[in-house]
Amino acid sequence: MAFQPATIDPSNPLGPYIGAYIARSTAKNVKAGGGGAVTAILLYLLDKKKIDGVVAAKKTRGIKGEIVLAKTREEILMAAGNRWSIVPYTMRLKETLMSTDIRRVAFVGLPCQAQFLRQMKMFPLMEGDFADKIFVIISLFCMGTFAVESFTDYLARNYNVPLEEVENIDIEGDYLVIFYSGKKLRLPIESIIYHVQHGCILCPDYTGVFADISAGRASREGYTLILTRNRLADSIVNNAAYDGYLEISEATEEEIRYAREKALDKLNRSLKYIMRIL
Amino acid sequence: MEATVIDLQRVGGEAELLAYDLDGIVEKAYFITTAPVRGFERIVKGKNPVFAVNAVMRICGICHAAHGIASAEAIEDAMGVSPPANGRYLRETIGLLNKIQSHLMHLVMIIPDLIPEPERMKYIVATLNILNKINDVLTKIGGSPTHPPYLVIGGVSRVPDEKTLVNLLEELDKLIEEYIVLRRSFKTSISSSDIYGQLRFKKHKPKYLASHMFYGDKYSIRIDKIRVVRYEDIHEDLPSKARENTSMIALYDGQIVETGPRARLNKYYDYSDDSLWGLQEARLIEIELFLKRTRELLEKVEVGESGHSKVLVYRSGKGTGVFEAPRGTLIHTVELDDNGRISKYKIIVPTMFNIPLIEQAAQGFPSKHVDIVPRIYDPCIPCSTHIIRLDSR
Amino acid sequence: MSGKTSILIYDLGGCEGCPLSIMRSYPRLARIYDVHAKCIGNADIERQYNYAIITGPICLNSQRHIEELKKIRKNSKILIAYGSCASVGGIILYARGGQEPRPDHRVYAPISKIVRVDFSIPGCPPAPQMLISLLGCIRSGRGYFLDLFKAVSAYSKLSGFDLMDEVVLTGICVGCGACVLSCPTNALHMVDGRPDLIVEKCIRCGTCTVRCPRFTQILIQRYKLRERAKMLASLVGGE
Ligand SMILES: Cc1cc2nc3c(=O)[nH]c(=O)nc-3n(C[C@H](O)[C@H](O)[C@H](O)COP(=O)(O)OP(=O)(O)OC[C@H]3O[C@@H](n4cnc5c(N)ncnc54)[C@H](O)[C@@H]3O)c2cc1C
Ligand code: SF4
Ligand code: SF4
Ligand code: SF4
Ligand code: SF4
Repeated sequence: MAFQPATIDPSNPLGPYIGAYIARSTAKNVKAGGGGAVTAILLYLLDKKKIDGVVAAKKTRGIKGEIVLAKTREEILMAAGNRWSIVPYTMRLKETLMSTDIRRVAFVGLPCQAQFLRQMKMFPLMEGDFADKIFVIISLFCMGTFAVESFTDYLARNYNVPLEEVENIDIEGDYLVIFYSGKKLRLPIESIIYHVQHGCILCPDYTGVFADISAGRASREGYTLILTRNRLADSIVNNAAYDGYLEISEATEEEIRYAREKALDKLNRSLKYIMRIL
Repeated sequence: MEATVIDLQRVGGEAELLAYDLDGIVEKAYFITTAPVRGFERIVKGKNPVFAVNAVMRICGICHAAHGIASAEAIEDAMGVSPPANGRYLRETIGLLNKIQSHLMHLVMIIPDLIPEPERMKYIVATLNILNKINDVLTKIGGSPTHPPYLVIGGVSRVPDEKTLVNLLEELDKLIEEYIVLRRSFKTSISSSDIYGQLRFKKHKPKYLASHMFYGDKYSIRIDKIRVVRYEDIHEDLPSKARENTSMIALYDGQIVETGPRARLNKYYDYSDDSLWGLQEARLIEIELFLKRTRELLEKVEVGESGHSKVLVYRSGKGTGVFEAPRGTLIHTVELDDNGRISKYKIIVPTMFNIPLIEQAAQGFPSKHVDIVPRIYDPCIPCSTHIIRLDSR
Repeated sequence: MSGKTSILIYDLGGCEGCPLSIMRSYPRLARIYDVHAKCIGNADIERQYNYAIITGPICLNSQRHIEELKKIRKNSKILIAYGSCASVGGIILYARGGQEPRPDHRVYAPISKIVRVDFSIPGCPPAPQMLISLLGCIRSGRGYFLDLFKAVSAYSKLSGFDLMDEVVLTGICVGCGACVLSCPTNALHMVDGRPDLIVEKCIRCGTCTVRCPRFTQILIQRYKLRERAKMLASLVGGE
């Protein structure tokens, strides 16, 4: 594990990485948030018995989710796609992990959760930590998560979109697209920024610099941009491609710049706001 | 007579032995604890009982669960609640595992006295291996190997599932075998050592205090007969150095009594060995008995049934909890005020009984090796420096 | 003596949980370092060490312990406050003295109140692997988490109460749940997506605060401001 810089460095807002790829799942039936690459990697790890399970977020209602430990292919496929809110880690997760037959797990989470997991792995501050079960940490890129009630209430009041009907949310350029009851609602991102959590405005980390693998949307439609941050991570991604789970190509300068700009935006936003609360 | 102050190492906590030497033999000895008094009985005053259980576990990182259990028992007694069957089994299990932990850690610390260099590390590693496995078992049942959080008022807050239990039973079977092998080879390795001979040779016959073999029973001893006094009260002509002592002394029926593994085995298993070695031997026997008892208890646990009573009654009351800690009988007493908050708390720990015996046993022991005497008694200083009876100095 | 880096593990009056947790990984530790500790029987505070790992809080009413601590600081290159008691006070912040046989032992504090501390590590107790991992990181250089543990040494308390005050009640909590998984007494639980403190269970160990992505950010930024202020002060000839 490369040693993380003291804070995220504005000259390198993506954090340290050794490989950058554009990828998508070779299976076409994955109902993914991007190119389904994350799901493909997870399936590869499970099939090859490198892990006993995956901690990810499953959709429950609307944009809400629930943290689950997926132990089969089916469960992993069920969890594909994005939950647009943060899904908190709970005591139940810990208890499940403590149960005896789970030895190594892949974690999928947001950058803030990746930071927590990395710290636990490097510095187990508690005897009850499950540090030795963390096999790989995968972080999704993240601009911020919604304050759930606030956002769904806004949708219901102003656009008559009932919470239960929200099927998926997507970002297209500067617009947020909400799919519900077979319909599509396009909202400028600016208009919903008030429903992003306050804490997320302070967050400096776009890609998850503490993760082993970071994954986000590529500028090419239907693909995932993958950053591998150490040799273990890089070999996982390459082997998943070699074994036919993943279709990958090196990311171009252009693709990387696309992510870097967003990361820099987020970092600047964070630096601006943190001063207000110190 | 020449006085030497021995800074005791490889014991739980900070202590010194002040030994007066006459021709290579200890003439008189003072066991002086020097750790600062943190005052847990005062810390919990005015607090919610839930806090007390979590707090008093931090009296000691060695016998954490023993304090947790004695405290929960005392508070339950005051509140008038009691744990369901599962809670009782699991709580006893946590207590037993804690005793095994403590005995094993003690073994690690005493090995250097008994086993010379080339083999020493091998035994330390083997003992730590078993200890680490015991810790895993305790993590699954108590939530953590130190200060287990599942110990709560009313029982144990989580009951392991079927699969975990089956795995634990298998694990315990393996552990029992592993331990028996270790113990056997350990005994052959030490029998030639010099110090072993001295420990066998040195005998004294104290009175014993024990309340139960595995758990603790407040009805089998007379708590009203216990008196807690200052260290100065049992010694005349105390040298000024010894006045720094930070622990109190407990007497039973006005007498000095030994409590701990040998006392338990003596009372419940007819064990008698009056030599200093007999005390260590008792510890080694107990580990095996406790492992087997743990296995038995886990078989009784009903999966799906609750482990705690799910009632907390905030009312005034008085209660007593007695538990057999690794080092002997541990007593917590509590008084709750009208709001159910703690108004009085009192703790008597086993080392308070054993300190005078350490001093007696040191007398007549060769000065060169006398530091092993307190070590063989396994005093617990973090515990013994948190005690009671307030009067003006 | 071998050319190994020397470390001292020394307890000042904690519950012994911290040193015993370290001892459980002793065989591994001893392969890399020349370890000195009371549990091994070779602790000697008169000699020099590369690292001193202090466990337990400092009793401000015990001259003896204060002297010992100062001596260890002088004799060691890097001093680490290990465990909640030593680093942020832990349970022992509640101590108020008045108890026999030494009613004068009234005030306990993290050791940073008396000496300069290089790294402060909460945890009650930290897991056995923690120390090996930490020393390895210190040897290999700078990093986010080391900066964090350095920042913690500027605090004389950190607990679930601070987490509530600074992160949850100020509305900057994002609800990630890291704190809930980091509490050794289960004093934090999620209520409607935000952590809530069960106050009677909090033993002020501080683990939750250094695991919270928001609070760590604040701790580090504040520490930097503080260092900058110190530097400015020294430039104009102040303390
Ligand atoms: C809240 C949120 C904000 C995002 N913001 C951006 C952004 O600004 N820019 C960008 O480029 N990309 C962003 N992404 C990431 C992006 O939308 C895709 O998730 C990413 O490209 C991976 O796509 P995929 O098809 O390979 O993943 P998939 O194959 O769909 O797999 C995604 C995996 O992540 C898990 N998951 C989904 N949501 C959560 C969650 N909330 N918490 C934990 N695990 C979860 C799923 O269970 C699944 O296992 C965001 C994702 C989320 C959840
Ligand atoms: S913006 Fe930061 S804090 Fe908010 S959810 Fe994303 S990673 Fe977490
Ligand atoms: S931090 Fe916890 S384990 Fe360590 S000495 Fe203090 S109370 Fe004991
Ligand atoms: S809430 Fe828990 S983790 Fe935080 S300080 Fe209190 S006891 Fe420690
Ligand atoms: S760790 Fe911090 S941000 Fe995460 S839930 Fe707890 S208080 Fe909120």
